[in-house]
Amino acid sequence: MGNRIVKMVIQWLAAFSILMLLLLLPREMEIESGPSGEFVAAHYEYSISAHAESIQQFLTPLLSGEGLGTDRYDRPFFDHAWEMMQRSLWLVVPAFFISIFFGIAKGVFDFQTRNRKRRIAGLHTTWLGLSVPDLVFIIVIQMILMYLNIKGIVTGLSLYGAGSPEAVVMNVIYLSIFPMFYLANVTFSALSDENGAEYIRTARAKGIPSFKLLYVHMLKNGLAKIFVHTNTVVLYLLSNLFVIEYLTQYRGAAYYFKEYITASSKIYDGQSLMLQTGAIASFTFFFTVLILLAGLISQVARGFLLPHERGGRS
Amino acid sequence: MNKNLTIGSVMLVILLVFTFIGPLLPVIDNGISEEGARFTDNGIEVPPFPPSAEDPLGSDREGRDVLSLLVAGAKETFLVILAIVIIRFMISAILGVGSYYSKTIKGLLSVWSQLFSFLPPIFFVIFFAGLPFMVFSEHRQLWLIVVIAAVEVGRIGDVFKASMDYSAEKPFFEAGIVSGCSRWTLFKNYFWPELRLTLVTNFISDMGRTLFLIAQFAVIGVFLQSAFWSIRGGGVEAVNNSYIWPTLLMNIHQDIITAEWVVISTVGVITFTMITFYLLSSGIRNYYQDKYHQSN
Repeated sequence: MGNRIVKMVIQWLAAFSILMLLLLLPREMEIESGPSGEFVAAHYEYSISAHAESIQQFLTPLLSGEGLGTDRYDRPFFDHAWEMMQRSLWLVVPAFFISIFFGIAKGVFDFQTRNRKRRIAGLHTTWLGLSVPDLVFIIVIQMILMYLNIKGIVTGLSLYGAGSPEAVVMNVIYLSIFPMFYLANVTFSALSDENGAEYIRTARAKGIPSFKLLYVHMLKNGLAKIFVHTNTVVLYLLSNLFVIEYLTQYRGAAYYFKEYITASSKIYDGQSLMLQTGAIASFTFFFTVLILLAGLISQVARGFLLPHERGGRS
Repeated sequence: MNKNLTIGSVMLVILLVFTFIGPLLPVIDNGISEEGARFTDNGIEVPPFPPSAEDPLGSDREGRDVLSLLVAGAKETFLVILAIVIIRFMISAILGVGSYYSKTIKGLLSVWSQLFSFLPPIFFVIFFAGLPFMVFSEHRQLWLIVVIAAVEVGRIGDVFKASMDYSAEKPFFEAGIVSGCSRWTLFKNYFWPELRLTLVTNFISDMGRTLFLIAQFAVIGVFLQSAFWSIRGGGVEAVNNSYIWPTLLMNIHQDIITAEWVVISTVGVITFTMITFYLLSSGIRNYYQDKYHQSN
């Protein structure tokens, strides 16, 4: 397991360095103006020396202990990014556990009802959840809430912005919709694969109750296949976080990252495309570290939970 | 009777009619004219107009008919997602199939998919979209198509690799080696049938996923294409100039409160398309499984 952890840290370092190299691309451009000062064209040319210089400019204050710079309110970018990240973690962490818990529960339910009439509530809803974009569910929920608000049934909820607990709850629900269906599908196919295995037949022949068989034997072995997908779930959660935070104006890490990274869409002079590299570097650091941590935790959890892994391999 | 394939095909025909015959219909305003205000018996109405006989799906904030916008954008939307998926599958096929034959390619595929396992797709694409050579490039759309394609190359490459490994483990494959097939015959007769099924079904379902991904970009305000408008006093602004479906979602925050018909019709047509691809993909898989009596 130690090897795998070292490998993951190296992968993280590589991914982070590549992002930093891209971020520190030189950004000055030359503006060609006409006789009366009107815009003619913008030219961008890459040079290695300019790139090296911009990396040096970024690293020098960092190494001398000045940190990553401050924003216009004199807040250090790193602290600001951490504060915003905490806001986002309130969405991502519950959504992660909710989608794993309910996803597996839904997958087990789908498996149990696969040949019965109730499969309409089981397999068919999972199918619907996978093929319909979660944006549809979010919009439907938002419209229902608006309708209830107009009718005066549910009032006083503040669902936009980042201040209120109800906004957090709704955003967690929005975030966990798709990963939940995704995991339900994964769980269902993992259980179906286990179903034919020899040891299940043996256990069944020995008269182990089907409840125990499902939860103790099949699910425990199936977890290996389910845990492979935790990285996908984390990636999806973080990716969708941008959409959710933008849609509900929840000002967390994804929202601010987007604000900082978006270069101006207007060019006035050669400096127009400059970014706050310190801020972006901090957010990038937290996002990638979060993925790394999730990977490490799932690695350790696998070691404890899964029968195959406890056997001493790796 | 393959229900998924039948329903999926019918939906595909509807989409094709919408895309190619749609522009010929009289209700469609191919010029996409803007309308400032409308005089009715009750006074003056300003856009966005709700659905009416004139605009069956209502109009957006500039007074443009939503149905006409959707028809006008259909062809471009399909071209863009097709381009993304074709590029993605060409690179993935080289990496995924190649990794069976060459250790170097296998290493490359594994580095690629591990690198991108640290980069959430939306995060990476907006990171890339803001790079200096992207913002004012004439080839911005092409660049972004390549980037969006690249983000998922690792995943699809792994799918191809899994299909190759799956076939190579089967007893019939050994029979092929023993009987002295050349490499090409082995590939054509032993790998390709399984690979083709993987390719076709994943290709179709990926088109749906990609459509949704670019819709998500539009929600957060990242567009594939831009035109340049001069600003008074010097300078230039990049603005979105295509009618591709997701651009209709750019004002989603306000539209969901005051012009919900714009959001509902756009998301509706995107959902319809995604379900079409999803049904077709699983329908084709079922068709081949029934045909070869494979039980998976």
